[in-house]
Amino acid sequence: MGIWFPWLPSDRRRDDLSPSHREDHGEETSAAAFALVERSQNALRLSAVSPAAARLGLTAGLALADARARVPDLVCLPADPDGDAALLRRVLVDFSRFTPMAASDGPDGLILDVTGCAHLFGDEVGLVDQAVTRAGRFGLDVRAAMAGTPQAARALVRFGPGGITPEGHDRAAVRRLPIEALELAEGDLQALRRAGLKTVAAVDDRPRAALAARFGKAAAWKVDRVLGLEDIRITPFRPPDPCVVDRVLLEPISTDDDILRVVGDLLIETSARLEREGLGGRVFQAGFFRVDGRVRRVTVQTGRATRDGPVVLRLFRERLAALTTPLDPGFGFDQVRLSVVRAEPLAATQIDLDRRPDHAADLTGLVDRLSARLGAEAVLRFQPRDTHIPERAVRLVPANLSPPHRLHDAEETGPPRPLHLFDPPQPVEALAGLPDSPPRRFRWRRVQHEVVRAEGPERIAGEWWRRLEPTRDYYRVEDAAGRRFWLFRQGLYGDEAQPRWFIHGLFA
Amino acid sequence: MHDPALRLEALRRRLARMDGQAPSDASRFDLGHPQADAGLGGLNRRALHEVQAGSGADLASADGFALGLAARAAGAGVIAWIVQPMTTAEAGLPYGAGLADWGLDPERVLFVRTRDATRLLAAAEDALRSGALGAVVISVWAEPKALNLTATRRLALAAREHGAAAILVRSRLSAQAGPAETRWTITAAPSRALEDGAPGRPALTVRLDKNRTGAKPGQWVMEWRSDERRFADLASVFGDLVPLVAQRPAA
Repeated sequence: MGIWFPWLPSDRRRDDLSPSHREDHGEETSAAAFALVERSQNALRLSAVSPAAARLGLTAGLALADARARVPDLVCLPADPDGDAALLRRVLVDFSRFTPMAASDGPDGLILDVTGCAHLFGDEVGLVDQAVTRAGRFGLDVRAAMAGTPQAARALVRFGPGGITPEGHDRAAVRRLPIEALELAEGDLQALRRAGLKTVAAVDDRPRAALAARFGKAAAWKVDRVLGLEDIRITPFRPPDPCVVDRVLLEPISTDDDILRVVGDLLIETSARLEREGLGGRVFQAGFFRVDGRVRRVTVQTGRATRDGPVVLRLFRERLAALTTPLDPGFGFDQVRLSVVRAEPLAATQIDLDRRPDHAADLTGLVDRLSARLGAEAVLRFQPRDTHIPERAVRLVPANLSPPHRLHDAEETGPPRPLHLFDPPQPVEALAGLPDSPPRRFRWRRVQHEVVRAEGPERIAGEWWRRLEPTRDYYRVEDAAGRRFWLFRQGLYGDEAQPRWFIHGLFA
Repeated sequence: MHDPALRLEALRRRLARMDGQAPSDASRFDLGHPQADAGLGGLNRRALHEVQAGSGADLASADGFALGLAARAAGAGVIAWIVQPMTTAEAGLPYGAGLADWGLDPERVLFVRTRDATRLLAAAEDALRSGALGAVVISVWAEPKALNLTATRRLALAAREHGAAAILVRSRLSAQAGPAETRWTITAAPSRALEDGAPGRPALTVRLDKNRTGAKPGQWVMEWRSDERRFADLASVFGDLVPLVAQRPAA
């Protein structure tokens, strides 16, 4: 289905006309003739015109001076291509409710692959009606056409009467279009006109080889594609997910219970589908389409592939309850889509006759629930890394990812390490004998500590292949009260800069 | 120490340990400290235990004691450690290498950071009820409003029903009475020095304030032995040879 907004820039700016202007012309702002002006090629040119201005003979590309000459009281507004693109994107996001395979087509159109989607919206006629209605909500004038291939749909909507072309009649419908529908270079079109070929039918009747010889292979391919003989798939703006299930609601819903009930129903359908393919989902995403066109997506992750509907529903419930910006239904959601973003093979499992508790599964279930409720960055595991820099030696990673591999043997023992580590290390003032004796006393958080026992230095040099970090000498010290600290001195005495002391961690 | 039945039980357990047999009562775990175990008769694994730091500066020691309890309670099971932002700001984040040095397996420790006390308690309850963990260490900062009597009762109930030990760590002394099975106050203690005056194994002053088994409160100075994963008594060990640390860094 091809969608074209012929007057997108001017429709968007209709409300920008000054109130006085609106008064002059009464309530009929659509009858106002105005144009959008941009600077191109060192001159001010019209980038877009309103329908009324077009009727007066103005077109895009005209110089502003010429336009003013023709229509002295033409109202001009500055062009804003970014704003136009943003509006088109919002419409694209809204129209992705019809199908996940949606893409923008130029700066003023959309192309949607609605194969197999029409039944959800009352067949093709209903689909086109809904598209027109929704575009109207954005305040845009719209044309729509449905055909068997994307290129045919584009040609029909921009250069033809639009409407739904029955299956198999694409070629006949496109043949009736003028040669502008081929969208070749202006010089090529002139040549075709001079040769007496005014419609696509005339071009089609000529042998393709002659066309290719005169205008190049690209032109011949274009003709084939427009006629629907060759089919290029569109690239959707969001790659489609492996498994997508939609539910269109007759009445918009806005309460949490209803939302969860619909999600639950969709999960049942999704589980059935996943089971048929022998897959389990790792990442599930629920898309909520608002009546006014906005879309909100909520994602949950699981540690292991699963098809268990109730388990995933519970994760969604935790997630929705814990959202930082709550799910705002506005006037209600009228479509809910559940997609499985990542799926993995999952064989059917056999339940033991004596049901032993599966601790591993319970643990991943707990991790999933806590991650859904608190966020994936809140549930962490320790992952060892192959580096001797203390703060990098062990990293905290979200527990949702697959369990980490051991990097080194457990038997390996090194110098003692503290239970707690400060990130970043906190500066302290320390008094130590030269050149590398342990500190005799130090001051941290406004408390003076007298060092009674100390061990060190343990020299940890920076990793030369990363960047030049100063060498650190670590000391394990104990104060009179029995508290043990991990201090280090950054830099050596005798260097240009004064060495500084830090506390990196606390021992128990 | 006056209850003969308890003393008998503690002696039996000590004998079993010396013979190399696992204690037969799986629902109790002990500290490995002869006097404390004899007095207490072991700690209930399916219960809530409270550990409080003697002062703000003793938070690291209290964490260490709690982890020791968790290690002994969980055995080979997974331990979850749930904290609030203030705790990590004060004492720093847990360090995986330090956990390994303590005798725990960092791969079997799950670390959960929550934004506030309410979420902390909800996560703790969820963790206890999951049945997948051996022990849950819950670090609270100061005296949050959410940690009232009802909340601690819920934690104790969850621990009892699902067989995981719940260890609540407070960053300062609290007068609140609660359903905890045992209450401990921990302060740092000077360690037994190694050669060259280096600090030795972690030493703590452990005071048992209250317990539900009826044993008398007491105070001991313990040191944690990470290789044996147990608390040893510090004051009474004099003649033992001090073991050298395996790899001494070059001085």
